[in-house]
Amino acid sequence: MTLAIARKDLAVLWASPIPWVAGAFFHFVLGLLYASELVARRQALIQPLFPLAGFLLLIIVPILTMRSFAEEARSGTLDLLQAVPVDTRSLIVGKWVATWITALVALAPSGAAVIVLVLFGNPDPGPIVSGYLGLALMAAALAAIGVFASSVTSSQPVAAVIAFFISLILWFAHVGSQTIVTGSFLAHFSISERLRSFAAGIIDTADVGFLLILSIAALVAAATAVDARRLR
Amino acid sequence: MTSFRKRLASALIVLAALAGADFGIHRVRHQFDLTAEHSQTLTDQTVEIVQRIHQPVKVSVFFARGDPDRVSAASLLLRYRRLNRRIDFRLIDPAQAPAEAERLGIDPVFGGLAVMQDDHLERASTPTEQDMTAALARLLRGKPSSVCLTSGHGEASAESTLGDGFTSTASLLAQNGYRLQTIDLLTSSEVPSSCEAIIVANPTAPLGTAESGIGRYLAAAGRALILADPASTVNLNDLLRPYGLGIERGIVLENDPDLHFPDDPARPVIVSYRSSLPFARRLPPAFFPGAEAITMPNVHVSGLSVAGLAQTSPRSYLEREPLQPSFDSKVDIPGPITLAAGADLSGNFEGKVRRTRVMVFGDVDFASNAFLNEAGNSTLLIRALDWAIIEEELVTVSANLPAVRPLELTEGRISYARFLLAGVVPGLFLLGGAGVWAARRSR
Repeated sequence: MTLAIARKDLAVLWASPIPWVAGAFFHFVLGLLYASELVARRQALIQPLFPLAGFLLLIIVPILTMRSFAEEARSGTLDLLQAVPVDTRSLIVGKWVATWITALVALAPSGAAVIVLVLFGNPDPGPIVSGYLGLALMAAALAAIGVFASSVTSSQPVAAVIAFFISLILWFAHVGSQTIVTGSFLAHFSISERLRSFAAGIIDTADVGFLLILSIAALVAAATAVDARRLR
Repeated sequence: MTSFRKRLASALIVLAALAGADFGIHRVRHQFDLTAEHSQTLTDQTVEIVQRIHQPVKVSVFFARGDPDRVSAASLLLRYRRLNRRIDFRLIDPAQAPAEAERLGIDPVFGGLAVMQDDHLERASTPTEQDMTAALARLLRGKPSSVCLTSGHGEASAESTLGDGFTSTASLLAQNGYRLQTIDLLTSSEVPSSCEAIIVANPTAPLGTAESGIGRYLAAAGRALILADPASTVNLNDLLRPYGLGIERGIVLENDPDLHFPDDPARPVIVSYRSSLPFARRLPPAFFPGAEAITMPNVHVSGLSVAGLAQTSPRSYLEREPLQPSFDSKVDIPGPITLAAGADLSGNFEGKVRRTRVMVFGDVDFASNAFLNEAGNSTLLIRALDWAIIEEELVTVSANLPAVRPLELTEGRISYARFLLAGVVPGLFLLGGAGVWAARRSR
């Protein structure tokens, strides 16, 4: 059932202009900024790409996820969906998988940057592997947050704004804590710090675990919100 | 309890379990460093030193908010902290806390790190593993190392404020955990045992009996920085020979215009250090105002290793007759010329490792008041002294630095990269979107 929901959502999503326009915006901005970094550094480094791509994901993933539940709630198809024997877990995970795959597909052409590096230099493959793993895990967490935001409102723009702000808070969670004392509580939640570690070429089991746990936590919260709606 | 409350309660339990799992994962975390040079992993020597810290250490990192070194400093210190939670650090913008920078003796313009344990303060100038670990090692020693400047034979003086004096050197050493004291080897040729290292800074009169005194000191696991100079005619080769080192008289002239001071080929600039000495990597450019050549004759002594530190370009040469400077292949020596080299003689004596270290430079001026604060001269001097003096387990610390991976960019290639990344890829998305839109309209 989960796969069927994911397949249906993927078809609906890619039939809309949203992923195409979001992908074009993502790669236009990323391409310009990363090319500037290459010109400034003149080093075959993939590392500057990841924080740029990570921040742009904060913008496009909420746009990809905003319709997951909000659109279904607005059009009334959510009630229909909840009338059939589909358990909430499959519903949530199916929608999350669909948006995560969409985000990954939108992200994939950034591999063109690797082609540029290989053509004109000799990049270190380690940070390329770890950085893309970090981006994929971060996209998973952002997609889960987006699904949660979409589950608490029937307005798509509101869902996108909620998801964006939660993501933004997580992105900047380390700011402030760094100027006071390290290891503070807030810094623990910083997804940009986690991404920095991946971008540097490190796969830290704590970072992998945190992003997976964040994804699961957001999906659990989304399931609770959907259940609340169903039982209302 | 209503059905929703039950769901809510179970969700809260799951979230609490997830928080617990996150805590547990962080307790047993493991890192995989995928970089080719393992540049994100602290060296074994650093790990050993950090694990010897049993009292809280506070590191104050002074870098301007926009300084790119601030980020790398934070990443590096985070790795230290993960190794030992007793190490804590804070990032400070010196512009916002000038008084704190002054209190800790950090230059507010160039920044740096202050490492404190109780009242003991050590400083590191750059946010590198080498400097940070050296500062921690000095901190663990608990007392400043005693460095002795020899005198009595026309050497540079720690009291002289003239250009060729060493007052700036004394200040620099004090800032880096060393106490410089002058020893007179004219009245007594023996080097006091309290000297953890000696600096012989360009003696201009023959050393006489002091030479054998220095020789005995070195043979007994002594540490020395020998600074020679073309201006002196004193022969130090007998002192250096047992350690596979020597000095070739003359003056080094650098003919590569990019590697000497403007209009002065007698002031070669060393930009890159091709050396196996562990402290050579990431050394900043330094220059030597008038230097003679260092040689490394083959000496077969068990436990001896010798390595050059700074070399001039192949276009340089050693001029034997500086008054008529032109390369004469019969007497002059073609480049590259070694300007500094280090020797390490290790041996096992009665079950204990004893180590003699000698670092020799073909120039004294780079360490004098006139030039010490120019370019990277002060860093070069301190790193060389650190290498010579600091404990055995530290001296092999050589940070796993990432390789330089140049990107060969021409204007055409930049345009190609921009066109591909910001033109073709987003264009394909727009084309795909247009295709979907057209297909929907045609239905």
